[in-house]
Amino acid sequence: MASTLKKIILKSCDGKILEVEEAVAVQSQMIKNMIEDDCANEEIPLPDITGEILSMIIEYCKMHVDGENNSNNELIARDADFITRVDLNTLYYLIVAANFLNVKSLLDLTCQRVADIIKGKSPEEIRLTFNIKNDFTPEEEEEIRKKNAWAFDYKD
Amino acid sequence: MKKPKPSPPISSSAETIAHNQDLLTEILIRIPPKHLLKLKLISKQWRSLISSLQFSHYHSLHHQNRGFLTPTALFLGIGNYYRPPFELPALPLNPETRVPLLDFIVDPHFKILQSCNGLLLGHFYYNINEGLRYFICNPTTRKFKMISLPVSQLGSLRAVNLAFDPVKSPYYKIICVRKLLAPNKRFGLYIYSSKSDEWDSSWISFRANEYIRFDHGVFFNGIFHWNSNGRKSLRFDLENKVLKKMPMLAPMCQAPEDSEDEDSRYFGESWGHLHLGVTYMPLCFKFNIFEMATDYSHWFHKYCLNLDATMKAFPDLRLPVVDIYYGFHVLSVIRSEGEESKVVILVDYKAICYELKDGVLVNVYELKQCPETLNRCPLNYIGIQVYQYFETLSCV
Repeated sequence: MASTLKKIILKSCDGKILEVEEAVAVQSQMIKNMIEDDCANEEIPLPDITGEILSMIIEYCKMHVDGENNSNNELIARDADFITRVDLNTLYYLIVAANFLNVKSLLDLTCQRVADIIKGKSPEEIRLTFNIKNDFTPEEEEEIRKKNAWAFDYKD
Repeated sequence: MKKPKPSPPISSSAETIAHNQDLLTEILIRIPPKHLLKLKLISKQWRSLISSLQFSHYHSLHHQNRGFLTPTALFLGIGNYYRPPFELPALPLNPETRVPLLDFIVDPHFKILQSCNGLLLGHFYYNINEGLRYFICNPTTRKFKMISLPVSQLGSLRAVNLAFDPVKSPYYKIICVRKLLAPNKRFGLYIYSSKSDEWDSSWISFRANEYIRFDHGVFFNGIFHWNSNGRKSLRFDLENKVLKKMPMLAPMCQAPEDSEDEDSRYFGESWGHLHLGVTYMPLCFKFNIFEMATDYSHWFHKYCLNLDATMKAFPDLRLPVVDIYYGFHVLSVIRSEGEESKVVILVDYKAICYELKDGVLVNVYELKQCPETLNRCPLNYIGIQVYQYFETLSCV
């Protein structure tokens, strides 16, 4: 009984302190491991995660803990609602944070969202979004297009 | 109040992701292969990631369903050798499927022998100087590799089979079966692994009946299964290198009342199920599909099918006409989740795919549009082979 009420204290990189119920915090495999290793009794500093992102992740984890008894479809609907409220820039911060904290379901959700976004963009738009330099010569580019012509030939 | 800055500062999270191989992999494995081919254009880093063996493995793992990949189309191999423009007719199993050409194969006179979860095994037309040359290819990525056979001169070559299970490993194996000259009924089995790119130094000697169709091998769950013209057959556990017996179905088992003999047998696999599809003579539109029990003790009757209703969509196909000229044959049984399993049959130059549950027509491929088929009358199951097409990034 005592363990379910236990609070875990998280500190974001911009100094925000968040008290989280253990049941919510263990949605993060990283924090769960820390608790099991008895390393979570003091405040846990999260150097690369801002307070804003951390709050969103906790909101997400709480939603999953509260919704444990809900049907799968309800959870999918809640996930969809959560993710569509996130703008692109925040989405990337969420992925980095979900990866660091190892929240598997959130990493799945955010990566799928980015994958869906990528599918609808041209190569040039993708490079712009991710700040990637095109390091192919026009000849190399032509070669890739030629080699995979069947995939380039049509839109989907 | 001035907020403390994060350290180290992240200029852009999108940039972090694009340059973090693990995160980029997490995102890109969710994108279908055909689309990923286009993303090779983004940068050299993206191209090398998408082309890598490890990535193809993660991609297959992400897209598997209960340990199996799902085919999106069937290649219809007509006759023995194909000519340019290297186009095998293909029957899409979903409306959105597009199937690539095989024009990347260096010699147009080739024959596909087997399809195994995204890779095709084939050989080129026999050449006096070079003998039979075998190859492995992936039609999706258009990658191609020649495979040289073991140097053994013992006996005669009977079959070459491919084993590939991208959900378990990104590497494939090939086996080669040779019939020894003496003693009688002895065979030799050789194993190649793409991981070492070598044939095992040791080989397996075993006894088997002549009627086992080593040239018709079906691989799944780590085991090769061979069709047979007799009552017994064999399977080969590749991991443990053990041969075991496998029963074949008794002739005319559960045949329709008026039939006198079996017309054809289809032998194939789908989603971990081994199937036998049997049609009967004199021709009727009733046929049976049997499935092998998981303990390999017997074949059980899985589906009893009647094409009468489906055939109403083809008023030209009346039984007597079909009977005289063509017969009808099961080309493929494709299992899937729920009630979406399909069967593909061949009748009068048409490959017809319909749903097993309610007989609803999925797709028809009119083979008369392929000039090769018109030289073949009747076009029967001997002249046509079916190879499942899986869209994967698997490396050869």
